[in-house]
Amino acid sequence: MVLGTEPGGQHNSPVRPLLAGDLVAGSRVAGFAWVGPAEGVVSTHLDDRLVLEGDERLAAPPDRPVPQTADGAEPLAAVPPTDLPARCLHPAESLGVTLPFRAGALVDLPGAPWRPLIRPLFGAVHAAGHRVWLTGGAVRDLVVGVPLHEVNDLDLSGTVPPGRFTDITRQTLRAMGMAELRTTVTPTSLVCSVVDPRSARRLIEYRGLSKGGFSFPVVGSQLAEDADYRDFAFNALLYDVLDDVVFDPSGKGLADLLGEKRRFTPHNVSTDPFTQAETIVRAGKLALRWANGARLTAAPLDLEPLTTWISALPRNLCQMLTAAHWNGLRSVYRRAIHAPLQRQQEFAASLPQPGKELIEILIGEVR
Amino acid sequence: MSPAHRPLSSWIAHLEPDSRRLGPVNDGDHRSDARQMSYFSEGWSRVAVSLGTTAQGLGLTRSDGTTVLELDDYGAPIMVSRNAVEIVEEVEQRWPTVDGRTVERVRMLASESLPLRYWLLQRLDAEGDPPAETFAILPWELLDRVVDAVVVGLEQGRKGGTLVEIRHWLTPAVRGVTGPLEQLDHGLRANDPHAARLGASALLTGLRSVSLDRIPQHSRTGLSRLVTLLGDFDPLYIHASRVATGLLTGQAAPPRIQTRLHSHLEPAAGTENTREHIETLGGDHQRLRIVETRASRLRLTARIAALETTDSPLAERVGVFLPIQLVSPAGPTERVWIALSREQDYLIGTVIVALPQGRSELDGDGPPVGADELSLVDREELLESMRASTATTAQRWLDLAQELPTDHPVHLAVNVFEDSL
Repeated sequence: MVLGTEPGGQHNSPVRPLLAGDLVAGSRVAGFAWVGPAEGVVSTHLDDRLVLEGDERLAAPPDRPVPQTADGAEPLAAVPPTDLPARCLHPAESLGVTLPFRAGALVDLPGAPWRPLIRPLFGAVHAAGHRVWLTGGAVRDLVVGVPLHEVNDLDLSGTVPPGRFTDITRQTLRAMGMAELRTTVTPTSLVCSVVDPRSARRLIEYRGLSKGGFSFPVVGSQLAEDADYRDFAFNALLYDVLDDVVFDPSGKGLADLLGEKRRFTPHNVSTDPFTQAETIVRAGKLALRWANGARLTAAPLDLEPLTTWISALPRNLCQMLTAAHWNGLRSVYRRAIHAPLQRQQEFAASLPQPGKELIEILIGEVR
Repeated sequence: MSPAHRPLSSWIAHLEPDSRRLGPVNDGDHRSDARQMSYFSEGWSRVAVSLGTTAQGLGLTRSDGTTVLELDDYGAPIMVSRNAVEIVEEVEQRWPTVDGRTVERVRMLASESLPLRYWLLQRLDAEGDPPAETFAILPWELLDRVVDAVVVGLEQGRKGGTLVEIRHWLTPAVRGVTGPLEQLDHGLRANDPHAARLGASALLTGLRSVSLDRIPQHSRTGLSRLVTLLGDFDPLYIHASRVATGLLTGQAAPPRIQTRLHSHLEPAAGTENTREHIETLGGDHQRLRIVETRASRLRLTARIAALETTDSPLAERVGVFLPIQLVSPAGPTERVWIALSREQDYLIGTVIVALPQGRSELDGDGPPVGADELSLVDREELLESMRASTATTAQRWLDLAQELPTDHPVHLAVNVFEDSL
């Protein structure tokens, strides 16, 4: 199954954008931050901020604009996915002969909210020299063969900083007659969304590659580091629609997903209590969905890495969560968990502390 | 204090009392809608949260001191004057009823921030039925400026000044108008006739289905000037242009291509013969002849005047198709496209479709479209139009498919259609 490949590269633009790892005037680029635009004004690349190594001590993003290309810089960084070893890159066909067709069909799915936008947006991002891929649940569902109409969201990741992404998206929306859609950027996570103003449904969500080590949100350009901030290894998978290649940056995602039992390997190195609690809730969502009504112990799931990880969390995790955290977790839980109460309680009972306490509190509050 | 005091925006953030810093969007769940949170079901009141010496943010507070700020699409507080907070509070006390006094108060928000005006009217429209004049506080000047730029672009063939983006700001009042208008503007600025024509076509379509009384008179005047111009630039748009102008100005429109249908026709008096009901709708430029039979079939023959086009940025297209809609209260709206062929001075095509059960309405007032407009239509839907076509009209589909990319839905539908012949 693991063949490894070099990406095709035939879709590459002659433009080389600045990436984390490049050198600018002798300083190494660490990543890209974002500050919001003035009220009522759409965000553009002018809101992106260049973050250099050494900026880790800053409390807020530096007032340093991001050049649109690497002209004048030393382009030392490997352009993703070439930053990954070949063993982490898998031709989609090697995972199933129909996978490339299914991926194309998902992107072009009739009636899907993302359909009118997604191909022109991919084209516009690549024309700017950047890369963008499918990520998250859509890739996971594609790989395991979930029917396409059951894929609810199309999440994207790539090398574009949030202001520049919003810029490109707005121009694409204008060209497609879809300028009435809202574009949003969540300042704490740098998630960019395109939202229908009436239904509030998200057409797409995009987030740059994760980058840690700063007291403000930063996105980077390295796939391997991004995997360290995904909740589970199988959720760190990415799919390159243009070249039909699956990236498995952690090296474990495909094995966890396609093994005899689906293995929940937590991957997020964050020490933020909310992020840790959210990972447990998301584990519940997937475990209960994949158990499909069967008892968790009888389902083909391997929760052992998850329980080991939970056991190593602070025992007082629930006490570390603020009132606002609980409010957010209740909201996440309500949207994520739809299994019968008995199944939810069974999941809670399967976890060690502090996961058991967390889920039991949420069950009690959300019922 | 009232349960009516819930967020207007879909995003809020808690204000940390000591640091005065904002917490994460929606307490970490940015996908949720703050207005739907049970957290705000009771106990909150409106407040202007001081954000410096002169600025205030729109907020909600609870008796225990908890304060949240409402956020815009980029997570920044929605700025507001103290007077505006009082007005929002009054509106919320009557929510979602907007009476004459409330309209007068809402009018005073015309100079407030765009996000405040947008979210107030978006929520009012979603949860109530605000009178049309309420929407006057939206930034219609943006629409006027884009219309002016497009008119300059069409008339003078040059870019119409500074780029203006309307974005979503007018969607509480109308949907399907400003998106196409921006697309038309984009097409003219980028010298992209494909985008320009798609925008023009969608604008003419969109204007027929929105509440035009929500658009202020000055903006309706500008739009009517623009759609008249579209008819001047592309004769195929003349009918749709005149219909839209009539709707925008309240002046006489051309004979409409709209009729009500019923599936139960009585036999002709004194005869056992199958009765046919024949009706011709429209005018000289766009006409539809409808033959309705007791066999519950509709024979629809479209005829559009094929006037020579000028050197227009809108006129390039592959094929001409007239879209017809059959709206039935009992079932989904059926769409059918009639592929038109040149016959002397006219473009003509015919389809035969099943008459929907019970009462239904037929609409053929829309602008003719090209193959570009069909690029996002499902293959199966196009296939139905081909199967409904008479032999001559079906041949037109086959011929046009040869001019299109192999992955165009018309091409894909023709492949299936040919296999079934």
